[in-house]
Amino acid sequence: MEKWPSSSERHLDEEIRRSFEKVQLPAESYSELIMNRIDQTAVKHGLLKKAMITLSAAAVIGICTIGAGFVSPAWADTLKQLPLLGGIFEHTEDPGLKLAAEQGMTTAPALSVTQDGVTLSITEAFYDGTRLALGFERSGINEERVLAVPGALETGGLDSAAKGLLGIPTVTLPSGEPVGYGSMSTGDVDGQPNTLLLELNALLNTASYGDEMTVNVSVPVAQIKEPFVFQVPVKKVTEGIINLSPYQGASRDDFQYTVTKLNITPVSIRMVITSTGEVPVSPEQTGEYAPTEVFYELVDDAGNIANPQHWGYSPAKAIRHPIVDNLYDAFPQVPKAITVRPYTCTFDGDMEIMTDANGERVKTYYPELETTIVIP
Amino acid sequence: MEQGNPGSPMNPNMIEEAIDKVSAGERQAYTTVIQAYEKQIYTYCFYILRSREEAEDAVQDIFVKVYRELGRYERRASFSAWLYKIAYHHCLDQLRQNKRRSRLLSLYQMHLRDGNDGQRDGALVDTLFAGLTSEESALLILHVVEQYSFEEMAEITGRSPAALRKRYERLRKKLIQQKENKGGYLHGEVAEFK
Repeated sequence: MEKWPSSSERHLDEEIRRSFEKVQLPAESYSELIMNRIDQTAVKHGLLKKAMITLSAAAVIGICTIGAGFVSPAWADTLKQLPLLGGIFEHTEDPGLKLAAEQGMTTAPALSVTQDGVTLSITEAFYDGTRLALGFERSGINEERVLAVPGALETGGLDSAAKGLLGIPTVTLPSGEPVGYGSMSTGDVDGQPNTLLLELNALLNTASYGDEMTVNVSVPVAQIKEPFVFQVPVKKVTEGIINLSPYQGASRDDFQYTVTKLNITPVSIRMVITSTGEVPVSPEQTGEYAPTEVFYELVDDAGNIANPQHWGYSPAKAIRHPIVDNLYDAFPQVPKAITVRPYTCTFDGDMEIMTDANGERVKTYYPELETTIVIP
Repeated sequence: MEQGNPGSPMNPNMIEEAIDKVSAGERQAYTTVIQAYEKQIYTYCFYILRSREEAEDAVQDIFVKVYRELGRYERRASFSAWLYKIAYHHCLDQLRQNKRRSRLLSLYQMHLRDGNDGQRDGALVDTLFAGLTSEESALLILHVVEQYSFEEMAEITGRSPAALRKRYERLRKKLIQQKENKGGYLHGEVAEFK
């Protein structure tokens, strides 16, 4: 039986509770950051060393046009405004950006802003209508870390005490409207000190942007009052862009999906799929086992396989995603045809995804759900 | 003197309902869960980790982990107790991994220096917490602030209720002693520290 607390003890308890209540969250809420992290479970391993932040917005399906052909070396030379030696993009593990850098599809804006001893430069840019990537270099400061903890600069968090840490860049159009995107990632590049890579993926409504535009980029920097502001000219890679609206799909029982959008660029493939109905279940996925959501693998006519760059999964059985907007790495050659191969993985009784002896996820394919899209 | 609903800032039925929705595929319902608990989990992590920066990271990591592990949530314990369990072990793991006590101490001292008169009460508790280990801080919060029973705390921490009770009683004595040594209570009122 507990003793009655003494007056001193009661006061102590009240004091502790009051103080606990008084602690404020440094941010209004972390729910958006957390939900976006959940959305982007699969991190591009090794690309971003630490503090990778992902943000995403609802997918929007637009209307597409068709182009043809791939980038020629001569054209690439004209696009590359300044020579780059060992640029940021080449050091990422993102094959699309590496390819873009190697094939000269990037531009070198060579823009620099210096404030209070800190210089920030935008050294590389890439834009293909699906993705906008910017490479930053920082100098004039001896600080190992590059990216501040999200929200720390805005809230006066501890990171604002380390001069030169960079906040999340914002990218806006000349009208002041933000550039819409499906997902965003920011981080420093492994092995490249003082660099920052910003990627806006699955860009929205870019048809209205035109092939050339200037975007405003604003970067908050710790202990420097004004953000670093750049006007960055961006030139769209137009050769080798194939935009299709196939409206092609397949069904099995009451599950049905349609590929509504397929954008192929020299560096990536974006596919938007809508689906209805319950996730298909194989006989092995019953009892304590259950299927995951449906994943969509792409196979080109040469047998090369591509999986979504963000290969996360929801920890819920047979969860339905009515709209899926995935980005894939490009195939080595322009495919003549792409087969969409839906599959599920299997949760065991502990809600762990089952893997084979090599640690690879066990996939259950549904041949009747495959569809082949001919690339014109 | 346990509260009927320890650890829960809102109607637990609403939380259970939100969890059901998440399990049924309504992913967005998880924001209800986050917003209901993020402040208290942040504060809990802050007092264990003694670093605002690490507590911010921890609260995000914990909610991502909880989402991924929702399938393991058994309703025999309250959701908040389960959440605290994950938070408790996450923070201890974090401390083990970091092994940077001196840095934590300097960060903590920086935090104290930043305090002002308006935060006097907070500073008082910080002073009390300063002499405690992370596990003692966790114990204090779970029992005094969240008002979990020792049985519930045993579920959260993986220790026996008897051991927790004993440790808590020792901790109480230590705190009262510490407070009295610093000029503590005067005629039942909280003395003001400057």
